[in-house]
Amino acid sequence: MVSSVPDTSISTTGSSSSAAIKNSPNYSNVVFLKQLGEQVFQQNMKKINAEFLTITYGSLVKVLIDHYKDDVEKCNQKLKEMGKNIGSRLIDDFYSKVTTQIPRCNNLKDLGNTLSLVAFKLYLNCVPKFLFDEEEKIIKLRFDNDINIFSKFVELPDEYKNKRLYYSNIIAGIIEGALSGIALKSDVIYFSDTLLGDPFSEIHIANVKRIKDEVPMGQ
Amino acid sequence: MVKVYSFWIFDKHCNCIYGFEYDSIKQKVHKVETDNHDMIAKSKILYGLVFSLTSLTTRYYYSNKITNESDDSLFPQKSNFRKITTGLYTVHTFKTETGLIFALLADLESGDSMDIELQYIYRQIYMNNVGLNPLAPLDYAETETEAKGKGFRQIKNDNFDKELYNFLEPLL
Repeated sequence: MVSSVPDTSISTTGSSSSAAIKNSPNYSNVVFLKQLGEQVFQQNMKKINAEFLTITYGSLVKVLIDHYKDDVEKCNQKLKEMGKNIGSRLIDDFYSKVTTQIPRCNNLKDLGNTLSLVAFKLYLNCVPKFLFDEEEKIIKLRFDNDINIFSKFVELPDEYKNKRLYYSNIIAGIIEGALSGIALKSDVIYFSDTLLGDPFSEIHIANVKRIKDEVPMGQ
Repeated sequence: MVKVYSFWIFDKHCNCIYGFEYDSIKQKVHKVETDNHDMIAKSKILYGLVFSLTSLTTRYYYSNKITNESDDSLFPQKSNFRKITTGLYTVHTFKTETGLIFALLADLESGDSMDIELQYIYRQIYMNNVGLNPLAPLDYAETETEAKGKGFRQIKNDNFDKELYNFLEPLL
């Protein structure tokens, strides 16, 4: 599956984030998820070369831009759509890889921790910082220090910067597709990107709602 | 020696997307297909059994909440039933997080659980041939009208058939 070679990626634990995690009440859960991510990543995941993935993705985005004749809005949409298709397949793979070891999510914080510590670790070998907005119920995943593997080697021309091309928008789609696979409807947006000159890259997951289980006719 | 009578997969739209039954007298396999009304009727009855037992077990589930932080509207606690035994056979089921249900009818010697076999079918055979196949349909109910148990599409995949038969053949 899509995951990078360990030695080409950047180290995952920031000292600032671990201090924040220690103060949170579900500290033991976070530590467990972190170990689980490490362990499954080492044992069950197939690895491919990170540069190969980066350049394949880059040429994909280039083809899309050419196809839509520089219409950046459509490119963003299409990337997200492709991500959704990937995500709804990947969620089955995720559960078959982590097997039954993964603890049940109780609330949105657990969901965010699982996403960043296990899901991102397994598939992209990076751990984004997880922040939770209590009032708005928004899960924020922040990528520090360019750990996002897709945007390595990339420098956007001014033309696309002004039109706001979200280069790694496929990740937002993957998250949305994966959550819809486990009956959670959500709005995932790529909030900001360092490639566009913003101070950090952030993905926001908002409006998480449960889709009701279908019942057969006549029930 | 465990003997397997039939095997079924249901998707989250309550449709049977795969199923076969082994007829030991005629040495023949009956598959769920659009024109095989007998098997379709059987699949509907089996889904009804699984569905009503799951809702029953979930209703009588007493949650042992430790913290007040759990959000039941988003992440409801569920208790899926694993098996049901009759005088002649046992129905083993395995429900995945994504809503697929794998069901296996075996004789009484199958014992406590066939979880290992069912999970092997899900993790190795189903995932490698159907789940991760980019050309397999994402959803077997293509329109709204095919949801809620009214769908008619099935998994058509020769490699999946072959690997599944190879795995289950010693048990048939």
